[in-house]
Amino acid sequence: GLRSAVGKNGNYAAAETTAGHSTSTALLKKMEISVAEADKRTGKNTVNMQETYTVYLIETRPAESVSEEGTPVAPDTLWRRYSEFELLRTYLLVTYPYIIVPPLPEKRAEFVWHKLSADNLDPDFVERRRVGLENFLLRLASHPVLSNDNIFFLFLTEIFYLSYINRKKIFLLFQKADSRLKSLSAMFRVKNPDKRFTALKHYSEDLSTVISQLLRIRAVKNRWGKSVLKTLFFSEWSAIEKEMGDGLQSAGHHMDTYAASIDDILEEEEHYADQLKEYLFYTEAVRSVCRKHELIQYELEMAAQDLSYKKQQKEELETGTVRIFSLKGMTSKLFGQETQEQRESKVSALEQSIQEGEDALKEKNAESQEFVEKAWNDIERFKEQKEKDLREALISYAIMQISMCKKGIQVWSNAKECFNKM
Amino acid sequence: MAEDVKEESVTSNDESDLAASDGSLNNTLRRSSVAVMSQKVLTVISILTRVVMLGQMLTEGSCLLRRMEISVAEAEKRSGKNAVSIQETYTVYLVETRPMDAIAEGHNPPPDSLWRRYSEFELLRNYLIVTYPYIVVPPLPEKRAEFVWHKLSADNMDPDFVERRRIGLENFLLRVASHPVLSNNEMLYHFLTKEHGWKEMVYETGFQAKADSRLRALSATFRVRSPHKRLVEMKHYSDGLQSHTSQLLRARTRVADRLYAVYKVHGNYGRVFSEWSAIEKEMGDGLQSAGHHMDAYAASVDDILEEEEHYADQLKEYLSYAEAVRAVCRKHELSQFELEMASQDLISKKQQREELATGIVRTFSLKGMTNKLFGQEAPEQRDAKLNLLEELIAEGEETVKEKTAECDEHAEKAWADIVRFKDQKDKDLQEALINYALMQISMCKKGIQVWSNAKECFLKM
Repeated sequence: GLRSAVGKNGNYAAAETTAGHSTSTALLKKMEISVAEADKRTGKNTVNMQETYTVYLIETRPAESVSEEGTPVAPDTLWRRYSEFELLRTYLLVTYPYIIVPPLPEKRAEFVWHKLSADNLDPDFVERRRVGLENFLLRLASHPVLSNDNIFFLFLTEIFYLSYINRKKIFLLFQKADSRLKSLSAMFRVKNPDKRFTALKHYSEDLSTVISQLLRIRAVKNRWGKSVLKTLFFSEWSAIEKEMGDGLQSAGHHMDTYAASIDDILEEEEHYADQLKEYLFYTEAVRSVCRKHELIQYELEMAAQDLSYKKQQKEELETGTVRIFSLKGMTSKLFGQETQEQRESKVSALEQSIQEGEDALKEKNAESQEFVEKAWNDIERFKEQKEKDLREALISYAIMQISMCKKGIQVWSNAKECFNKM
Repeated sequence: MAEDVKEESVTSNDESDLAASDGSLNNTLRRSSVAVMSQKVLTVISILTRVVMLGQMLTEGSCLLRRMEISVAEAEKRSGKNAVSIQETYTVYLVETRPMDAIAEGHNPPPDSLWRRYSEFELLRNYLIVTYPYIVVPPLPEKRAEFVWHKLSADNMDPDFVERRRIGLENFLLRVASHPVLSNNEMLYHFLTKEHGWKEMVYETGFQAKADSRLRALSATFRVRSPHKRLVEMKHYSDGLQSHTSQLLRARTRVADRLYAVYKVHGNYGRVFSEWSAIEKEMGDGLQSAGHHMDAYAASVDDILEEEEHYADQLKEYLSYAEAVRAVCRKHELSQFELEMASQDLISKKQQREELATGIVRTFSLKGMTNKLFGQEAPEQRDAKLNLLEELIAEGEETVKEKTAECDEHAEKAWADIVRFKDQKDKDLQEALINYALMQISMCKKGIQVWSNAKECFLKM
């Protein structure tokens, strides 16, 4: 997350692009990726109405590229809307259900603390979204699995990266998976849930709560903080006091400088809030993987259950003993047993069904094991990334606070000098 | 903060001009109030400031404070029956005095002490106001808590309020005892040394008879025709001082509220960090330590904000001072008014004399009318009247001369005291501002400390 911020603004001293960036993928070795600009467009939408929307410029250039003259090579560029980023992500979710897919920046501004950034067309919001989108692409590009995806590569380089038919297919697949997930949580329960996944799910819920709280506290703090600065009264006072006027007035100027620098720092703080938000959304992605695993587990259990039921039926038919209550058993009692031929045909049908069931179970087992293995791989990777990112963010935040205090000392020392001279 | 206070004392020692008025002493007064405020460094700093005060004693004038160390050391609750035999609870304050020469010699004699109620302080002040009408008498701390914010209650029995009042009362005594004129007053000396019978002594001076009723003083304001130039200046100054100080106090209350909220929010961060540490495995310890540092920061801010309250008290003192300045103005207006009355009386008498002497009636008068109707008086009557008038005129001229001299003298004395007061105020406010800046710096330093510690925790994660 820190890396993306350096793209446009050089002033985030704590964030150096390659420092500590341990995983470098084949893709990143090949090309540099950035979301360089944002622009407004107007056009007709699907219901033929005029609408204004924002597009973002994706720039790619070969890594460490320098032309013969020594100037940097011009990048390849294409413009994309936010909705296209969403589509890409949906595709990845459907294609790699066991991967914690990096989240997109928020669709609408939340946790706002000054009313300006609640508007999607607001330049500050657009800028922060641009940074977020770049971050998203860099996360994908540095992921050991996702970076190799061809559709992702096309997204970066070809304007038509996904045919119309494929777009439809993705949406349908996504909806199907989504509704299955929903029905699972609503109605069905997994009998033997995997403890690790359960623990992970709880952890991501807890982390989500913690981060929301931090963001809320920050919003409150900044609302108060701004108003403190506005009520600093030195400039007023200097008009009042004649003899002390000059001293107070120059102190007042220092206060104004201080207030301005605080504004800069508060903006920088916004950046840390965005990092927190990214992890807030990441927790959703983690939960999503857990739920998908539950679904697989559930289907596995269903398949096993189905198989064991069929085997039991076969046994009953063969031995003639009715172990469990069944309509068959009842009808046998009432109307007499079937003929030998009838029974044998039923048995062979069952045997076939059992064979299919065993194959299905074997498949589902393999699927489940593969999912679990791949998922845990990615979860381990994610844990490491999370720890590294959060640690860096907290350190940078502490450094920022320290620098704010240092500025304060400077300003108040200057003010004190003014007072001394009064 | 203690180190800063000490530092500042030393530098201003070098810089203060001892030939100036009480200004330098007031630096010390401020410092002693600051020191006493913070319970934690009370003993150390109060000793330090007493030593500093000793070093800054004025060599000129017979200042009481030079001879005697004064403090209001404690406050206690008492109950007793009041004037209408009803049980009431009230607070008493312990006034302690020690002879300066004994201290200078290095002895440490136990202080003489007596208990005084707030009402006795009020009595002393009223006495001084009446006895020295042209002096800006230092104000008492507020009777009831005003301009309260946040956690401070408006309750007179509240320990924080009582403590701040104790400091205010000590401040009052120190101000009075270091005033070039007021400090020589006998009643002041007895207030500090004679516990019983002091009240009766004060009443026996009969000062209450001299106290001008407010109604008289008010009406004088509207009838003075040509107010003394100084008087006008003084009034404008006191009005300005009053309004500006009130504005400042209000602004400060708003700032204090918000500053408090901002720093308290850090306490919330601490709590959330602790919760977070519970769910993380590797990062858990680091997060928990960081959380503790946040909590410590939020708690430390409480101390600083308490100190900030002290600056509000300083502002409030000047609000009360504005009232004292206006009181001096009013008294002067009264003298002025009496002078104008006396002048007017003299003029009319002189006019009467002229009429009698020349027989010409210049203005309409009943005398003139009766003359026209009934004829003029006999020469003997006229002469008698003239002689009487001459006497009255002579008296009147004496009176006018006296009153004029009195007025001018009062005006000059009052203005001299106001100049002294302005000087004191400028020094006090400058110092308050410097201390405020120091406090802010100290808050920033604490912030740096906390966040550096937090950073260390994060680095170790």
